[in-house]
Amino acid sequence: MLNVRKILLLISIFLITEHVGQNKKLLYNFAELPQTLLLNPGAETNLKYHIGIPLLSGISTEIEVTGFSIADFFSDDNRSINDKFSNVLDKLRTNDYVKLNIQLEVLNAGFRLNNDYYFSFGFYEEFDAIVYYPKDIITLVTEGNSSFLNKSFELSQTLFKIDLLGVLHFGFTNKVSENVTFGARFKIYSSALNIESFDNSGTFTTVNGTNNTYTHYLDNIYLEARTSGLYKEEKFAGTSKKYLKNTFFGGNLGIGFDVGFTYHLSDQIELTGSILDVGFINHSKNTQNSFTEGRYVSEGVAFEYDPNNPSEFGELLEVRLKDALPFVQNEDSYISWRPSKVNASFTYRFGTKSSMYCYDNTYKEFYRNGLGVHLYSVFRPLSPQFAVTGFYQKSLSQKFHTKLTYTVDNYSFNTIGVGLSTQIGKLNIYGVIDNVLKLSNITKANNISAQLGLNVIF
Amino acid sequence: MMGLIKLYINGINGGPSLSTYSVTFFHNYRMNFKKIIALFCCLFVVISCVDDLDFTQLDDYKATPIYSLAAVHFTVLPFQFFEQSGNQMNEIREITDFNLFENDYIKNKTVKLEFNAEVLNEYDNDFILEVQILNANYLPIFKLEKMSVSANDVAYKFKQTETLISNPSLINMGGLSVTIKTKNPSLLLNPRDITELQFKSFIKVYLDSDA
Repeated sequence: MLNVRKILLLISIFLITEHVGQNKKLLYNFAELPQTLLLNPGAETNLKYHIGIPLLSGISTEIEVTGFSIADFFSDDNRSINDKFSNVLDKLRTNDYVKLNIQLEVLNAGFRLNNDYYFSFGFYEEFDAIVYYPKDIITLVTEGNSSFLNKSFELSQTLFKIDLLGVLHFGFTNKVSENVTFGARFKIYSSALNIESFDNSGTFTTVNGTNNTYTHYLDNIYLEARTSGLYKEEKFAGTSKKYLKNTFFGGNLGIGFDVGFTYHLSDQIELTGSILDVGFINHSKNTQNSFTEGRYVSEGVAFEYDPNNPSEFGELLEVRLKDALPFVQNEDSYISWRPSKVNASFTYRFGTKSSMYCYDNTYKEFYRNGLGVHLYSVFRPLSPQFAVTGFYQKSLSQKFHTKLTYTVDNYSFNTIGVGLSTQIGKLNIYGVIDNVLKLSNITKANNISAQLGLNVIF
Repeated sequence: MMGLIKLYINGINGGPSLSTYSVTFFHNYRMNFKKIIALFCCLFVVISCVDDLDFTQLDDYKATPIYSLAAVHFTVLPFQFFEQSGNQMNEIREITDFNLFENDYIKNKTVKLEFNAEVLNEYDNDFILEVQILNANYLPIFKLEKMSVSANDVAYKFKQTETLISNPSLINMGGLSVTIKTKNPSLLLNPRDITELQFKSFIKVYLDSDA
């Protein structure tokens, strides 16, 4: 049923997911689009030059929510929201997370130097956030510790990384031989916002005590949070406009690179691979970091009733806690690593062979069908995430290409995606949507992603 | 899934495939790029659906956590009732800070406090224990009911529940004091005795996110 609420929800999902580092399996190695060079700088293209329509050449968004769906919370089913919340909390696992990635190409262009070299460059904005659910902390906050004697609440579940940055990039693609194409891309990152906390440790436990009814343990505590761009002189740093401005050489800079290749084992068999975002950002401006470390055991306050000490005052609980777990804040610079991604694919091409015009009166023969598998991995704070995608590509004409994918990943075994790319004159239009089966009810989807764009291709 | 792929590639029973239909459709109608964009967007919007959702349910969500916090404990031997000069005291008192409401959220959302204590009395004397809630300046703001512990009562239990609505001064809690009084001051204690008066306590803090 089409209504305003649905449209708003779709728009918000689309906009929200427009700025995150994501698995673009539908775009990877698809239709020789210029955007495939951002996923594999060694991808084969047969362009003379291209110019992406500014702000419209690459809009991509992905949202993943594992462990529950929006419908689990907000279905209008007369169940109490508290019951739904408890059910969801019971189901959550410590490796469940919410991830949001939005990427917006501001500029994307490229040109061919000669038959062997194609150069491409541009600038894009990226918002990338992953927050793992701290299940134990949520339980402690919403239910307390009274019903959980002897349970160790894992504070190490505090795990998140949020980035807003601009990326200026320049890459080349080199046709090394008839069978091998190699490419690399150099990137300059400009971070406007980074908030991260990982590698934490520690537990909070309440047990029946010996000297008092209960004993509380804060064991092996190491909690650290680092921020840059969030605070300036201990106040929130600024408006969204200012954040966007800072994505263009705002002060916290980093470097990185992508590399990739395409290798033809035969006329019909093709291997590709790429490693993306091997790099880091040095955060030195508007940083504010906090950490605490230590161990604290409390049986409450022990009264001494010391007849030799006439003072009525016993020990001070607050002082003991602050001594044991000092809360330290500083403005030290730090380095954050980009979430590197690895792609690899195997494609078998078959069916009718056609000829297509490339550039400067050069032509290329291609098979209209391709069947293959694509492996993807991204390094995230808790552990790498993997996805395996089977795909079928079909070129309906020289200028109309389609792709169908089936993906198995950390959170789903039945993600089906579709992609289309066509060229009308010099204008290339592409669009892909993943998880189409869930479009029949996106509130039950754990992930939705879409990319679309417009390029002028010569 | 495989059926969908087959239909896409080969069609049904050797008939035209979906891809053939697609090509025909595009060729016949010579769609311009505006139409394709519109088609893409419409496809996304039209084929997608959502269940009836009610986001206002969030207003009904209520978290009511209960925290149990160890409070004061002690073991008192007879010698602790004697001054350095050797005089027996009939009352001893000690104070500590106990700032339960330092955090604003806890301060604003606490609706009830439950004071719990267990006393083990090995003495042949009766005792009265008085627990006072103090403010940040260690001045009394609330007195719990007196605990009257009989001689040799080794399983005395105490529980008192107070709501913040009826006793709003509790929100200013900054400390605790416990006074131990011998019920019969004429009875003399032996400072070398090793009988014990054990006291254990905890406070249950009831929060309500709607408070």
